[in-house]
Amino acid sequence: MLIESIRALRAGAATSALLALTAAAATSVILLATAETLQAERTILGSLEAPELRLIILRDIDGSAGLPPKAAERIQAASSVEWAVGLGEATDVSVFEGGPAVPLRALFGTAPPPLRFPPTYFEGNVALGERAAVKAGLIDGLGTVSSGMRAHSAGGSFDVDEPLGFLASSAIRQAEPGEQPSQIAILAEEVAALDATARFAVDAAGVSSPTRLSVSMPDDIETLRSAIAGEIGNSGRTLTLLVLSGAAGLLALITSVGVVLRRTDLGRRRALGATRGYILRLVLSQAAITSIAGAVVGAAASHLYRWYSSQLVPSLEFSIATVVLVTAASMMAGLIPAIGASLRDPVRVLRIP
Amino acid sequence: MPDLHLEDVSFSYRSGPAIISNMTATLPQGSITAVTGPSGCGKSTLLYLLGLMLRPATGRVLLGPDTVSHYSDSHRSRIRAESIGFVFQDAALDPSRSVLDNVLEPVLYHPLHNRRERRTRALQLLDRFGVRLPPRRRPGEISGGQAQRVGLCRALINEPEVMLADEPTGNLDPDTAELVLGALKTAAHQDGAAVVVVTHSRALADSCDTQLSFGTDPGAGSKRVD
Repeated sequence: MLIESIRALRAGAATSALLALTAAAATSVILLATAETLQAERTILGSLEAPELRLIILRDIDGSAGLPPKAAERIQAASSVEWAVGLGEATDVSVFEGGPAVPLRALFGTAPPPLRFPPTYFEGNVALGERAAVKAGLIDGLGTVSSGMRAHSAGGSFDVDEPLGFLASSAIRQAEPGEQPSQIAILAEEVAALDATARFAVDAAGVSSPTRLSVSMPDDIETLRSAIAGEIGNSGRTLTLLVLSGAAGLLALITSVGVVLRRTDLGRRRALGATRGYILRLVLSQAAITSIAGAVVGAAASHLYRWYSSQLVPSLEFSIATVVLVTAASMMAGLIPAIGASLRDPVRVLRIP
Repeated sequence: MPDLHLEDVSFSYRSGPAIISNMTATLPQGSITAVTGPSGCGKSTLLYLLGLMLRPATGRVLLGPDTVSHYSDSHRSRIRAESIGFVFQDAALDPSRSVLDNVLEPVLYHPLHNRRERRTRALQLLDRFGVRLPPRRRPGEISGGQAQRVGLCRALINEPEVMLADEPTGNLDPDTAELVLGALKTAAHQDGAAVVVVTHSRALADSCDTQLSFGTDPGAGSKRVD
């Protein structure tokens, strides 16, 4: 049957080529469109994973929750936490009495990656954020600041990125023994883990009065993320269905034309003893062979194009599934013409007027 | 080999007038029967009824004791592949196959046959009917007479019990026509097949063992001329 199908394919080279081309085009469109959609989805969802959308702040509402100095270290032990840092209550400091005041906060634990101290800074010093240094009037953040009761050496300006950008207008010093943080800033590994991480953080903080803690984090980001992923997924599926339906229609038409062009061949076969089942299998196997060949070429071309243009390449599993889907659509599209061919009366074909 | 019988057979296309009415005939094994008559009288239709490609509206076709016309389509197809050889008016060769593969085509539909053995038989048949060509040559590269002889070899490849030929010499020169007729006679007299030939040729009909002659009125039946 396979040899016969290949022979028949070669005999009807034009329709076979059209069938294969349609299958290749359908596969390419599905794979390229899906890859584009996936890339867009990743970009959009990637932007929803920005650090500022993953920040959780545990705050001691009125100083009675009892946040321990090691709370940030305990919270940081969780695998869903990228980093955690404790910050003390702010006190105003200025270069001279009555001068522009900037808030000074104590830092509990190791400085997280977004916070980079200058080389001139050492423990015991104060470092100022860029905006705080400008406001206080300290060029490069070097000099002295005072809270009125206590003076601190300022060891330079620190750089800070999001999500701790709000610290740029503060001064920071390492916490001293006996001090307590008033808030913990926690960066979750991913948006999907925000809720669970916040619950864990409250438990792990080890506060004496958890009800006096407030938790703040971006609202409904996960819902928004799911909604966007769902919408993009729906669009992709609709597009795939549309392409498959269009391709199936075209394949059915080409198969029908092929069957009409081959009516003498099929009639002769029936006269020589081919059963209806044989004709059905012959037409369907031709549709399958051309579709598989076309779909594989289409998939390979799509992969090559995406790879060559350094874009996201569809996964092998998805590509195989697409080839199978296009082949199945082609066979379904070929079913009616194949049944028609098998039911065709051979006498009508063989009669010579 | 069994005889072929028509028993009270009638046939019409769709809702048209009867092409064949209440026809009863026996086409004996080992003999060649000519079917004659004017155009449109139902000669070819009779051939298709005998070849189980059409089903009679009434009556039946028997191959030996079996009422083969009542069988299912797939069963009738199997009988066509196993027991019936067709020679078409225009040879009806497959242009995409070589001459040898054309002769071997019915073996595809009769898978019980050993293909290698059939290939040897095909080469012998081609040789016997004077088709001395490279077997890989295509039908488009041979003459009409050669094509008709290839068609004859194809009809004989499965050693059929019944040979049906529709105007087999219509497009041939007298020498080739003689060769084809000789081959049909050999199939009947030596191989024991029941051979039926539809023809307009008086000479060909006269050289057959029996004649089945249709009248000018379609559906009026036929008469046997022995």
